[in-house]
Amino acid sequence: MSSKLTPTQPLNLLRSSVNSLVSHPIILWPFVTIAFVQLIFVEILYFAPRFPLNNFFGPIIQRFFGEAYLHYPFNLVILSQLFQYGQIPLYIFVSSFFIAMGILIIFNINNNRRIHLRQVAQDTWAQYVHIVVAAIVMALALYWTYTLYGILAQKVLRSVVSMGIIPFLKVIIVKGSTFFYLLIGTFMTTLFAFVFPIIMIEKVKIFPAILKNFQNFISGGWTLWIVIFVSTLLYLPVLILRQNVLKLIDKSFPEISLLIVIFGILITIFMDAIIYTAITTYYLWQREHR
Amino acid sequence: MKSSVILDAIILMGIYGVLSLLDLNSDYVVERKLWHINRKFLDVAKDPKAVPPQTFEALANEYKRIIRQHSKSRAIAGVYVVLGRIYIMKGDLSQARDVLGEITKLYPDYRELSAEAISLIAKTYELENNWAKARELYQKIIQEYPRTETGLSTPLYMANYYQTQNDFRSTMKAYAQAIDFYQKLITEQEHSTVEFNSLRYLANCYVAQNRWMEAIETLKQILIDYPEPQYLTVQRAELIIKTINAIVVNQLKNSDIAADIYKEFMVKYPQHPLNKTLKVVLDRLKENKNPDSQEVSVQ
Repeated sequence: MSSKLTPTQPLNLLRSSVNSLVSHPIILWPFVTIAFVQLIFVEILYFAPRFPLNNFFGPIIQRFFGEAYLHYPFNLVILSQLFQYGQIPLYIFVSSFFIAMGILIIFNINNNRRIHLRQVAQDTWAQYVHIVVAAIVMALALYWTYTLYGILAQKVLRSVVSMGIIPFLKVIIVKGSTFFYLLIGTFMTTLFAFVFPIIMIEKVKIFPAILKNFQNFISGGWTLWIVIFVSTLLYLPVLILRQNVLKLIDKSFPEISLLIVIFGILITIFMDAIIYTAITTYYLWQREHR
Repeated sequence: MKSSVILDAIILMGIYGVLSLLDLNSDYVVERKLWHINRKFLDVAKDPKAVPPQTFEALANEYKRIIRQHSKSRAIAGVYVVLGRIYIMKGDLSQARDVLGEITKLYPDYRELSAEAISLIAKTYELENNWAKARELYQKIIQEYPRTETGLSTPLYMANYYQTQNDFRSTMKAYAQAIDFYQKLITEQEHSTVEFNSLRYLANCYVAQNRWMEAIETLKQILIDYPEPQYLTVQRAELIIKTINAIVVNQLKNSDIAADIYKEFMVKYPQHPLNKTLKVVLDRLKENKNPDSQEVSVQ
């Protein structure tokens, strides 16, 4: 697969990834499975304030959000927020496993091996501890970066200086916060892009994988960042819709928030599939040409 | 791959179907149906005079259908109130009284709703210029539902009514009765929502009667005794501070009274988020500037 292409240019790499997905739809399987798990989680959240799930979730929602959020339509107002909270453990313990499976599938296709999902799952399970630790490291790094950005943004917004660049920065921060978070997300994904492929392909432990990841990042980070950034733009409409969810509910119907979450999950299947196919393809290309 | 996606979809739809079936007649389902009808009601309520009678009737029928389908749901009690409001808007006051009268019979334990229903019935008599009957019902609310939101606001409402009628003697008498009512509740209901709301209404009564020092003392009591965020919200804090400032500057001509209250609050609650605003207000009071130009913030 990747050996036939020379994906040093971002556009080539992107095209190569899309071609791989079209010619080998099996690559999509782990990402579809992640979406399936996420959709089950969304269903649970949707039914959380209702019988019989309210017996378990009712007191939790009441404790952290208040009684009103157990009732229609307020439960739908917090649905997206609850989904985001749940995404963190889901990513660490479930999504990371399937992403690693996807990487192994791409590696096997690249080596012209037949794909046996059971075997791929077993091989991935063997590396599960390292995958989970890597996912925790990445989640923490992303969280700290977002926090740092939040602190800096607050400092600028609270600044009383009304001269020079400060008022301009304030407008950019307020209007472009969604875009900045997206940008940070793509940068952090690129920074740790090779960790999963290294763990799965080289069968190394987490810390040597992180070290090796940074070496690869230095030599190919820029190309990969462009590919990740362009692919992530697919998700921009979802972010804009999510940011305006209250206005949308007011203009249409409360279930729109549920539809936005589902739309986001479906978009993520293709976005993640393209990104991780590109990362793995690029890593394999680097490996061959080292 | 295809079969896997189909299987996933079947499982998801299966879970959705089972959970929906398990919850077919719950309050949540009623709330959802009501939300959609309530939106139509809000549209109608924007300009009831421009709405044809058929629209009112169609809306009323939708509510009646929900009452029939989910008569056992807890959410239904509130539907009677909305239905009553629809008939009031339509001008069918007798029908409104019938519907609202059902609430006290069917849901005697729903005291807040019962008080609201009686208050709405009283309003229908007001619309018919039958104040004697309306007053009788307002008195009933005060006596039987004194601790409800409607019960608390009714004495002040009655005093305001007399004021709008330029009936000075009745206004003074109603304020005196309202003050007695709120003071009694304040003594009975220490540190509660009822006491907090009674203090707010009491301060209104004193302001309306130009009893400035008593108004200030009551507002001070609200600030000092209820600093918790669920009571002292940003809007309430802003209103209290502005009222105190307006009274001390315009009526009592002694801004030291306000300064003493704010200083006492800051000493008692040194970590309170309102202190930042109070410091600015204090500085402005010292400089004899307009202290209300500062936005209140308890963030």
